[in-house]
Amino acid sequence: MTQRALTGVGIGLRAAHINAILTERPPLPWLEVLADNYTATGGLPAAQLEAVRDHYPVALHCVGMNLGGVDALNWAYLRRIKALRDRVQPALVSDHVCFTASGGVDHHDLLPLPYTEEALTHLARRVEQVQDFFGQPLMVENASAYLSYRHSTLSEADFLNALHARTGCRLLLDVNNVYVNQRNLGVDGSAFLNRLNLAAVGYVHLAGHEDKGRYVVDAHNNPVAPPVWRLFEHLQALRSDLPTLIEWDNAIPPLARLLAEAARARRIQAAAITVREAV
Amino acid sequence: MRLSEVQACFAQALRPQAMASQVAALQACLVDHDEIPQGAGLAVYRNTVLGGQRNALAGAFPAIRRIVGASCFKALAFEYFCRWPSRDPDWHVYGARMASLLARVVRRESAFADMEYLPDLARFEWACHRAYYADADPAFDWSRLASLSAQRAGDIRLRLARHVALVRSCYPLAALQADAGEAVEPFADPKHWVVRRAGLTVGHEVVAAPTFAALRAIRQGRTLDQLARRGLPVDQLAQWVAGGWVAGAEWPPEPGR
Repeated sequence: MTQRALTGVGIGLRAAHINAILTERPPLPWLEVLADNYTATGGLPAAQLEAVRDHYPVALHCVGMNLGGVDALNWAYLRRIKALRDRVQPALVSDHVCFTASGGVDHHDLLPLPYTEEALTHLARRVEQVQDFFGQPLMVENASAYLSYRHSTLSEADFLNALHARTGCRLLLDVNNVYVNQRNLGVDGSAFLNRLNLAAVGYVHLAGHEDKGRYVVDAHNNPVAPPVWRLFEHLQALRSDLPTLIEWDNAIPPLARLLAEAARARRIQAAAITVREAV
Repeated sequence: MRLSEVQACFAQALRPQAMASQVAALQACLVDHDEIPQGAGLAVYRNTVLGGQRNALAGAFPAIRRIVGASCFKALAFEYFCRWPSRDPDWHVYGARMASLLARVVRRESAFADMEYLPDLARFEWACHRAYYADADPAFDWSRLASLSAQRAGDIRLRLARHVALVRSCYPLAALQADAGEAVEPFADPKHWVVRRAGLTVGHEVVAAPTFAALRAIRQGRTLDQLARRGLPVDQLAQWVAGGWVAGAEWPPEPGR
């Protein structure tokens, strides 16, 4: 089993690629695993993950913690994730700044929170509870959104910075989500990156979206779009040492396509480092 | 607006059966963006929620979907969602009531008159789906049984493996699942399937009625004595253990200990 800190550009592990990854062993520095698909302790998924874990460091990415929800934390779910964490020994565990369940119903979507002091206090308390339970800092990801609330009093960047300051959690910065929010909600992506406490960021997501004309959907069904690459380049000018991951969840292409996206991200990071060293 | 009110409001507006007033209540607390109209924004969330549960059901019931067609399955999934929204973050446990829904639909819709097998097929597919995602059973040391007296051995309650499910039907479920192209003629007598995981592969096999009854009695928590008194084939225990169908056993503590 390989356990070490994440570095470089990895990809999200998807079922369609597992056989290719296990047989071809592409030189990837790490893989991100959708934890919710692998909580069973038996059967093919568990065996595949164990095999992958023998060769690659992994990060566990969750979608069901409901960190921002007002329903009670789902301890049965958290216990399963913790058991998976103990089996897999990932470099880190992450989830999202959102709510995913309410009134006992799981929506299975990343629903937006208002950026208010009340939401921040509530979210921070739950992040701390989960961190205490896991015995390690959590990574929390900025979410994409298709609407925002009139009564928000904080910017998203300030909200995330305060969450980090209060809980010690790390931030998972999804650059595509930054762009989605720029297109949908008019939030300036570059200004967001300038404002975000990048010292708190643990790693970065890059993904494709679906352009609907007036707005975009965070569908993870396309290559990373040019304006998202530009935001990524802007990020490199601010901080270029962050582990980065290519996500692709729908209309999944052959593994080689993802590896090409990862190579592009690597080139951008390398160029930024070269420029910085020259300066 | 309190966080709890926002989330309750959002959840109401997300429901397919949401009333206009419930959608309006959410929209009243939203910013009007030039880029994305409020209705389009809410629609993105609704589509994601509905699409996610439809994909989850399609993953669990591929044969049902193939047989009824994609558009009909979409309608079934919608009805399922309206009746039983997900109550667990794990999509793999969503769909347990599909057989129940199909039984209602078969009774209700004349178009399903010749598809009475659908509820049984749903049970079969669900058993396969759950077998695939079942947890491993804890290891059990069968040599512990050797130290039990014959009298106490009768008190043993066996434990079926988590991946094992039992399905009884008069229809050719395995052929239907495999799309064997056979006519759906009911059998004269019901067949009894054990759906299980063998190694990493989910499969099934037909067993004799007494074996099926014994496995069902084990699932119900009957002791070996109770199985034997009903004439059930407890002498197959070694086969069940070797096949991984029975994963453990328990018995009451010795009196006085």
